[in-house]
Amino acid sequence: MAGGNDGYSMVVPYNTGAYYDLRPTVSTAPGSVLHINNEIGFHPNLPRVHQRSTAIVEGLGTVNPDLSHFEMLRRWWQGDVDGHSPQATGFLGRLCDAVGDPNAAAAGVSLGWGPTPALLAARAVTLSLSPYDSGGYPGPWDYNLRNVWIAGHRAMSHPDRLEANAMITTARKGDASALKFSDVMAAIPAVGTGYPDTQLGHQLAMAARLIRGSIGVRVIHVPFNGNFDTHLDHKAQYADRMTELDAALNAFLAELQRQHLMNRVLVATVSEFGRRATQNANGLDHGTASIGLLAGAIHPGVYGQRPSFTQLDDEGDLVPAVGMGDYYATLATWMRVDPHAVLPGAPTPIPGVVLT
Amino acid sequence: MAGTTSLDKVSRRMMWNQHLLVRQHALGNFRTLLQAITVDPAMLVYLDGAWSSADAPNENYAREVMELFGLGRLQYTEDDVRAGAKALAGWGVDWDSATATFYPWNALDAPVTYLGRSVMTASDVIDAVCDHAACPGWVAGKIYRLLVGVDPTNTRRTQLATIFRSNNLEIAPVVESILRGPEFLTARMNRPRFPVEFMTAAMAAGMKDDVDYSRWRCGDMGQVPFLPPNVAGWASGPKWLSPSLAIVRADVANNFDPVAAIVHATNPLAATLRQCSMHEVGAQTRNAFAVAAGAIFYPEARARTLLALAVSSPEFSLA
Repeated sequence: MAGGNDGYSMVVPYNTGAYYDLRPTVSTAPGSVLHINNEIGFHPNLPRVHQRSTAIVEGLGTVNPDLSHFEMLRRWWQGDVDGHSPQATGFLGRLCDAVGDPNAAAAGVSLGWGPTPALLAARAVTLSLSPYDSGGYPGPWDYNLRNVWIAGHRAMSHPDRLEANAMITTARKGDASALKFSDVMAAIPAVGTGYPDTQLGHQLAMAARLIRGSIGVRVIHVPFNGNFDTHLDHKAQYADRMTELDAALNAFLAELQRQHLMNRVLVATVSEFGRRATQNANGLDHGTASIGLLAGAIHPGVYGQRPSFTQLDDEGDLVPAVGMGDYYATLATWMRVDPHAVLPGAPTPIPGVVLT
Repeated sequence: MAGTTSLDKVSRRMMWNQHLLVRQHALGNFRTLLQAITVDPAMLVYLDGAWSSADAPNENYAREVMELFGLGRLQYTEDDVRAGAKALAGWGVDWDSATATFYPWNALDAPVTYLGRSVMTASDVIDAVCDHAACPGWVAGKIYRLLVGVDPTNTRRTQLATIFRSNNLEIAPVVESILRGPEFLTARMNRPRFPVEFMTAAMAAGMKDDVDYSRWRCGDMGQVPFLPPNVAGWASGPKWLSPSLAIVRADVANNFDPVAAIVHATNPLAATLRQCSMHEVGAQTRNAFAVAAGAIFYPEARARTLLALAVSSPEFSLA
């Protein structure tokens, strides 16, 4: 959720007076909040997610916070837990390296244009594609022309043993991987129904298809293309994000349930930072602590710790309780990857989340 | 090449002014360029010179001007970084006018030792960097790497350094020597094209004039102009040949209108290669084109498909 997701609008501390003092006009009225327990509840536009089995990690943030999108996205992509440990690969890419099958069409897929730094791997094949093309290799619409085009690419991407130029060989391989993925995707039937016709809906329908297909994809990165950077008009903007999230995520979880795949999937949200405790005129500026939302094969519940809305830090921001290291360590542990192998420092998974 | 600034941190006007400054001096004098960029408002903001004062100096630019721009690592000490930072201090930036001003009260009032010399001002620092023995070889090596795709041999680097120094750090003679050198003639398809290079070449071949489209697709390929991942810029390497980029290139290639010169050519295959400036095509690719040309009857469809295959070919993705 790039932009800086205001976790405490997704999960509202409806009994905390200070929260409402700091956010007189951008907060959700306590009466409309969907209760999780007697302290927090979901945003009113998340009724279906509310019915699902989810885990919430409160107070999720980082040490040494920076409020630049660029810097913080880099840290979360790379798994740079303290801002001083840049990595050449992405955290998700390292997970793909750890568990991916080198013969798979792809170990990691990002459902949006643009190679995401999060999936940069040392060995595993990872790729990005538009969720609207069903993973198919781009080409002309006309059936006959498409056949000629694809045949041309198969020929061009075939390795040429006589070629001395290593760069050309690498270029051919990249194209060959893209074609192979397209072939493998085409063999998976598209059966998902009930997905909303939103971008997130298309992305999650595609994600479900990738999972159903069992083609070796272990990590799916879903860039939620909505404005979370709500400096202005937070309440209305955020309500729209939650509406889109609720319908799409619910359809995805429903399909996993129908296909008996729920015990194989972990869904986790990531955002580069939260937002300020105090509102501006009608919005929220960049902040620190937020929440993480997990679904799928996890132990439901509320984890972490709510930051204090009365004792803010020197910048007036919420003080996080759970850092990137421990959050990511939880995801790694879920995938049966040793956190120390993929993260700097000494990260420990959040106790109780991962089913044993 | 290194020497970047990011639109994330500076204003559009500052970013554009810096871009024009680099263009102005690109084939001029390196010392003049480095002097100018050291007090360029965008650079001052990006590498934190703009708020640096001599009694509490920010070391960011002081380090990068040596590590990335002028000398390379291992040519200086941490004492040099600290001394350099002090001597560079005193500059401030006004955002509204996008200008830089020197404030003497924030600067040094006595010289310090830097790279073995006595320096007091930003200009002194840059002179020290440019006069350093390692400078011409480091900079010439980077120019060579950009144009040839690989690092020069030590002998060649020394040769280029000599040309650079004996020409008072004028850049054009170094470029000329590289372009006229034997390695350049054989350095074909030595490195991947950066997305900006690919889009420029693709749009020229497809005769399409759409700046927004180019910028959008560069972003899809992982290179948004003026938003480098860090101060070192975008590194060259095989990641630009990943499957994700192959997919984007295939998509770009499929979005051109038929080019008249190919439609009406008696030899559409040859015309396509000419249109794409592809002078050296492997047998495999050439065969693929020939089969495609033979399989399509209608000239416009044939022209469109041939151009698409050429622009998305492995050869076209390389510089």
